[in-house]
Amino acid sequence: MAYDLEKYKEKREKVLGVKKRGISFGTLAAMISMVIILGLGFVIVPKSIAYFNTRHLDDAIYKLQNTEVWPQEVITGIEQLAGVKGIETDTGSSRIVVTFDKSITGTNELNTFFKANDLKAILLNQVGHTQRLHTIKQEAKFEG
Amino acid sequence: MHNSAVEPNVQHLIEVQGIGKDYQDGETNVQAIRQMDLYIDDGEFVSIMGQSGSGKSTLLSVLGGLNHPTRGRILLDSLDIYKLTSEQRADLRSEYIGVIFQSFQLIPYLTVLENVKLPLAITGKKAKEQDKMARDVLARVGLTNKAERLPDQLSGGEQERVAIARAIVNRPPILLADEPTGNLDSKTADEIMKLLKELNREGQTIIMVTHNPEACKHTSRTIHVKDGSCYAN
Repeated sequence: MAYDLEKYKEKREKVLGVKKRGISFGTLAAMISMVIILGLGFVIVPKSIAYFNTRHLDDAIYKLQNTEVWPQEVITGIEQLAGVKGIETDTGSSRIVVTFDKSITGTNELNTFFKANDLKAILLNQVGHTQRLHTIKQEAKFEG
Repeated sequence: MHNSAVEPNVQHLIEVQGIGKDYQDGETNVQAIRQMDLYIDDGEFVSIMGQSGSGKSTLLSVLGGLNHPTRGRILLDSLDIYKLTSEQRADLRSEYIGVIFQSFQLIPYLTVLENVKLPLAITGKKAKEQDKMARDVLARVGLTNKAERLPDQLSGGEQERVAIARAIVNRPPILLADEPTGNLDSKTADEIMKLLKELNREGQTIIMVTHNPEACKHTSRTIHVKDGSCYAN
């Protein structure tokens, strides 16, 4: 009768290392490292992505000298300028925050636009987009 | 399973193919084993018989993966045991082979139960499972009520039973016994042989080295060893 190779297959696999006994130190160390790396990744990666997505953006905050509210056609006009990524109105629409790509445009171009449209706009502040978002978050934390 | 240590075309549990073992004794080359070819099937009870110095104990140690032969190879469950790494060979001994020594080799300061549990220590089994396996096997050899005793509080026959229990506790397919009745009186020796025969009936493969023709009567086959060669297989 031919020898039955299946009978002690499990033992043979243990000897040959096909079937591992428990978790080796190396595997355990690799698993713990992965958990730490993934954990740090979840914290660091989104922040890094956000930074790289917004580092070229600046925010310019404007107020109109004579008028309380910004006319809608002016807002639409600014939005269509090259390099402008978005506009937000705040403080009862008396101020606008223009987010722009500083490698394409700047406050000089915006001032030129205001002059061409006969608007007396005052530049209140110019800050990095990320920094302003951070400031808003901090303010919300203190208020709420 | 692609491994150079695996020979898939085997016909027997153990195949000894052209092994030889030389020792260097000063300037003299001693051939403990000249040339041996033999096989052992799964479930056999084989005795290896020969006079002192015939090479039978050397053969047993070579079969047990403890003594590298000078030539030839040994296939155990298709594994060429001396092609395995030393770590794999240690695992092979732990998984496949239980050994009963002539002088029992029990640890004198450990209890019977602790002695039996020793081979389980390296298997990674949990303490509770080790305890159960050891107690089960002690019950199997009829020593349930002696578990907490020290070896020197037992008779020779009982110590031999502990040695057998320790050898089979990890359920190895192969049991190697080196003169298991050599230190026992004839009545106790007969009891031990009956126990070994019972284990064999339950499927245990046993290879027993002996110089006692009486012990061979209990086995299914006898391999005679003389001057480093086996001449009747």
